[in-house]
Amino acid sequence: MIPGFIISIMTFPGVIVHESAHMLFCKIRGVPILDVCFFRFGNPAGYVVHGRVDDFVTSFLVAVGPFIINSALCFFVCLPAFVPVRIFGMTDPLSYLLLWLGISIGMHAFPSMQDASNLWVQAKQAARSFNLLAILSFPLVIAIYIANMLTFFWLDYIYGIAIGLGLPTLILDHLF
Amino acid sequence: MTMKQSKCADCALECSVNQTLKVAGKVVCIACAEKILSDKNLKTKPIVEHQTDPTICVKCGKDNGLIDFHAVAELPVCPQCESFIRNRPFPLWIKVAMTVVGGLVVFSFAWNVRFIKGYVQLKASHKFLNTGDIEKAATSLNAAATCIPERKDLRAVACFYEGAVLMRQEKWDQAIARLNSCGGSLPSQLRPTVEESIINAKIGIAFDTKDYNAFLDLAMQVQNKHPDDSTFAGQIASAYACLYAQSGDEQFKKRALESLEKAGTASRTTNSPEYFESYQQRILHRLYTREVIDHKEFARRFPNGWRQPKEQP
Repeated sequence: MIPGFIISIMTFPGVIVHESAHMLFCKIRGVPILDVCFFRFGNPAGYVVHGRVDDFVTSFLVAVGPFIINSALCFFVCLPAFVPVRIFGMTDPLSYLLLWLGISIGMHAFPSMQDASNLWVQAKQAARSFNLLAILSFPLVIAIYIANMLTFFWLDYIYGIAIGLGLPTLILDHLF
Repeated sequence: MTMKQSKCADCALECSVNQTLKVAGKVVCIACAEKILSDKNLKTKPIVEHQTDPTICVKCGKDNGLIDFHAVAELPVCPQCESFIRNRPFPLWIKVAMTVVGGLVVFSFAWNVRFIKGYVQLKASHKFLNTGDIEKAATSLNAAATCIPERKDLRAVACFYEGAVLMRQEKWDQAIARLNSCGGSLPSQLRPTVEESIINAKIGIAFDTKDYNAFLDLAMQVQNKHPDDSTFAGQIASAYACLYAQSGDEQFKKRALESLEKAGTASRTTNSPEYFESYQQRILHRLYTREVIDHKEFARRFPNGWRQPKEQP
């Protein structure tokens, strides 16, 4: 077993992008940001402390932001390196650097347990007023919890590989 | 400036609000809070809350006297800090790092675009090969090999299909030269096909130069490579028919008919009986007329096929 903090160190760009994504959505939605740590040697490896959010859409975006941003960045960072390495077996260092960077970012796409807890509390409140997004969020929150538990079985790494290498394969095969 | 004061519920000490804690609903000074929390007889851990002085900015510690600061996220902050919290900028190093990553991605796209072009051409060549369009497949493979010169096997495969195109155009000398230039990078499964294609090109040259003995030798070589497949006996029949046409020796005619029979039997088990039918007509025409014509001339003269005239009694 590899301890979590070592994985965080090895994939630190993903932690930085994860926290940046939280911060970005806070800024977009006008949520005050009290404190930010983009990376540290500890648990959690990074955090964003923000003010209370009253509307559910904002809570949802702030919590799910890293999933959107990290997944998209993982795909776009891996894409230019994917064809030379995966299809043609080239071994240039830049491509490997980009694959490491992309997969590291993809590995930290899942919202954390804390993000899921925040979303769960907000979703329960919003669902009382029949907010459709809040109602739809319940299975998503459960999925986030399960995904976080399955990181023990490297689901985060598998997800990074799937977005960084699997998705380009799928797209290129269907495009051409 | 005077900070807001609070009285400890246990020791009655007057201290600033920021120096107090609420332990189990009771406001106490830090010393009394530590005393309560270190009590070993406590059955449950009490809830501890920080007391915040609304006149002191939580971020910079600025004292606003007796006037409360505006609360942001339920915490008192001065106007300067509030502006910072509400519009917190990304640190410079994050901006630089993101720009570098973006630059790397753009550079990598530009650097590796030839691989993407090569991949597109490679996929196109597979599609053309599946539809039997060897000319277009060879062009695409050649383009792919040009995009990725590091992959020598791609160049070799492109050479192979260019050779196949030249074979189809009956440019035998050029085909042999092209096939010979495939080199050692050719995938091993294509090597026997290359060797055989070179022999077939030599057969083409032997036929064109009317060197029918060489034609027969080469046709035998091909058959020997496939001892269990009699479809190759058709070429031997063709060579014997040419020798018969040239010499009039009945032995050649007999062997030509035997080989043709063998090839005919084999063709019934393959999916090319129609091709064999037209091939057989050409050989029989050669044997009947003792005139050697190539398949193009044969097709021109007999667009509806040729039938041996019935012998007059």
